[in-house]
Amino acid sequence: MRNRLISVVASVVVLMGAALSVSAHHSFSAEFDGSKKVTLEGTVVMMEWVNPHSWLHLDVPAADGKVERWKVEGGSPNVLQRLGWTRDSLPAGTKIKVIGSPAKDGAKRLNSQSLEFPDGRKMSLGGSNPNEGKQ
Amino acid sequence: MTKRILTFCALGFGAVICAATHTVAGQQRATAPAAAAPAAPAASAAKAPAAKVPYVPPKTAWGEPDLQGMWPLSHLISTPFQRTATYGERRFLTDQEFAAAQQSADARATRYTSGAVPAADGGGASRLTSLLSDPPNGRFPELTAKGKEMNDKFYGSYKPRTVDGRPIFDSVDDFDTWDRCITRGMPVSMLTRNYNVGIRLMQSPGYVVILLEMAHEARIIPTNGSPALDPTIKQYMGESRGHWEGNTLVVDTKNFNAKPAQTNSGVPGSPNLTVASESLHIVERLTRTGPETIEYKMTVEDPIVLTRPWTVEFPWQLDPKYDMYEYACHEGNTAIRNYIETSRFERAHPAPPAPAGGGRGGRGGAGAPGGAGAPAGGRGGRGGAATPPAPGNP
Repeated sequence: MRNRLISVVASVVVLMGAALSVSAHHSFSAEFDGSKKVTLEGTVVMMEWVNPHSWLHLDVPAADGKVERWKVEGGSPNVLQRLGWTRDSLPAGTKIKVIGSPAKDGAKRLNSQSLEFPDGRKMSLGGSNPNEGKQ
Repeated sequence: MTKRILTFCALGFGAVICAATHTVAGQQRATAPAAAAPAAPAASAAKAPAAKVPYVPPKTAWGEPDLQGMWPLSHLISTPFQRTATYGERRFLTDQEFAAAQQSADARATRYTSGAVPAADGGGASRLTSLLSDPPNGRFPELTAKGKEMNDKFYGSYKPRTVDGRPIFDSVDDFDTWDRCITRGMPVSMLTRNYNVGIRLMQSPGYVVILLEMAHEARIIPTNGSPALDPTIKQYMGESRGHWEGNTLVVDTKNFNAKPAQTNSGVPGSPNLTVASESLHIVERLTRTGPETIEYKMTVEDPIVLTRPWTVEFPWQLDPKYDMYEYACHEGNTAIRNYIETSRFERAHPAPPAPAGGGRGGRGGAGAPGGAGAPAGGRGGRGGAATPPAPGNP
């Protein structure tokens, strides 16, 4: 599973140092591995505007030609709203690149660190990732 | 609960209560710190012999001091709960320290506006070195022996149960009430954090309502002298009764069920979870000190858990432009399931021993609890008592 996961991603980078970030509702490190960085390039399937954390669903082409569905964790709807997101910001079919920290158990879940549109615009998904904003 | 509030408002005073009643120009969040700055001279003036003429607050139609409005705690996001040891017993930053803290907060606000920084609702620096004003060193009190014993068995995602040094999540009992989206409880609900810090205060004859954005709470506080609940009735948020002492609203809260923590690492610079007992007793004092400020003071005692009471004091800052959104915390709280699944996966797939030199890549298995990549190690530094974040740099 771990190898397969790595095959999906464009890069896995070992980050140095544990950033002391703003604290999230839950402990980030109990679920996600902040020492790994995963880049997903795919198509938006659905954006779940739910509390306490939002979930962006993405279809990502894997190396073997199959399509894998990933869930990317972001901030709460009111955080997203204050960051400028609207419910129409990420319609299904949008091409998107997301960088984040993968789930420790190998599930296709990611905690968002940065998000980029094809035209180069970058937005924060308001998540709890201690590496948020870093590239 | 929203319905209850709406009914309450409709029955009481309609739009007068529900709307923000203050017509003063709303301040942009970026300017809030400057407005918060007078806290220092105001507090000093209170002790000085030549005190200024006290501010006379507006009155409600029925003659009480009018504290109503939107009072988000965004301006305190950079102020740690506990004081950094270097400040000793000093409550306020010097001009130089404040300028540096302000610069740091501004830089963060810029990143926030650009979308590069998450989950922080703006806010600048404040003059305070800590929210805690007592003990005088701004540090959280020691626990009693009984308190330590209770705290050792009190768990949450930031203070997990461990077996052989490894965090374990196996049931809902391994999470605190905030992890579970039940409540932040008291006193934590009245403290700042990095997002969703809206507070709306509303009044009607005989009642004060404090509406809290995180996590969807309404504290309904009778001020009509009606008798308190029987002490055997215990609640998550306790039971509050208020009365007026001159221009100060005094709120006395007890009858706690002791399930929520009395500190939570979600508050910057706070100890991780600290257990509470049913002896928890909280007294809050709210005094309007200007058109846009309330001095807020909260004293917490819990003689079973704590060797002494603790007090926080900080200014509330009016911000009528702040929008409070519904925070239906439980609707998608998948964290509980995900943490349990992750924990079970980690136990079923122990990581190989960490390489010599201690790389960060390890999954933190039982054989390497001290590795930098181990979950326990990753959590330890977050606002722990030994390493509170410096003001302006959470």
